[in-house]
Amino acid sequence: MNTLKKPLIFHAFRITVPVLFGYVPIGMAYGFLLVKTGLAWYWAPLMCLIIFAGAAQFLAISLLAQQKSIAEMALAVFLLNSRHMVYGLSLLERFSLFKFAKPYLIYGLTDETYALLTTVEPPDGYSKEKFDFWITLLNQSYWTAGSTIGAIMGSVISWNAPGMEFALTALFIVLLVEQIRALKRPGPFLLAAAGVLILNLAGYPDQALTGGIIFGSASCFFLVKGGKK
Amino acid sequence: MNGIFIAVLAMGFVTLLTRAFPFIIFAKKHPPELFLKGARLIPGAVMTVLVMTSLPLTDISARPGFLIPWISGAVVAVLHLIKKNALLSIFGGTAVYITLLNFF
Repeated sequence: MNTLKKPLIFHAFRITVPVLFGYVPIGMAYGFLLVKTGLAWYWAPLMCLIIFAGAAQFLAISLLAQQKSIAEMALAVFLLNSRHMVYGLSLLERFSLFKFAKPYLIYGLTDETYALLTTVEPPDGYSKEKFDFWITLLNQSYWTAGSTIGAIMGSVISWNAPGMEFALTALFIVLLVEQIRALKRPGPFLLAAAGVLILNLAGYPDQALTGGIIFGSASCFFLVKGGKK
Repeated sequence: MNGIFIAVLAMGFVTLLTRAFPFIIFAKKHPPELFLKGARLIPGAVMTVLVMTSLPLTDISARPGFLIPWISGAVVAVLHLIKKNALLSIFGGTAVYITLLNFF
């Protein structure tokens, strides 16, 4: 009976195949862009280990290129990732009995891993903790491998298309469209847009990123208070 | 090099903080409903700011042109609304941007 059992990593792999197809090309684009903004290739795997958050890592290279202060970078990444605060809430129960893998699972909770861990169950007779561990580890290895390949390609290929950096703006627009679809209410978008516009018109375009994020995020809590229950 | 490393560490730390937050704070008590509802709206506000600050707003004489990024941005949005394929929208819009940049 036991000899017929496939190793757990095999089951985890099957479930993470869609993530593989998503993470590798986006990771490659990320690594490529990273070296084209002037960073050395090894920052790609380093950021995949230290930060490990897709959109935040794209934002990180844009912030590094703009030479923002560390406080501004940390704040922008914190607020961009603030959605993760909500993610963990739906996994409190699932993780409550976990031991060895729990810190790693919390560290590796990307959008895609969250989506998998909240929907899939291991096959009968397998440990949920080990299953979740393999899913998270596989996802991180896809992302790190894609990013590193892209970064090495970018440093070998001398082709440097001016305008490539627009991919970052495009990524943010895609994420904005996704948010508009998900939230189905104009408040957070309009207030954040108003904040950025006012700061620009008042002559503080350099403060628009940080100021806009603080104003926009804070106003979200007022929208809930004043809005429908 | 050192400055970049510290910045990356800082961004990694705040990312970990957002992920660990509920496990630290709400391990025993239930989170207030108001907080959850507000937190769900934040990414929408953040994304709006990120898009707007990466497009030229008031500087009509902006380099490389005022209209090119807006037109390309609109292409990204429309592609994504129709096709719902993130890679297609990103690379399609970027291709339009690079093309316009070379012609004008």
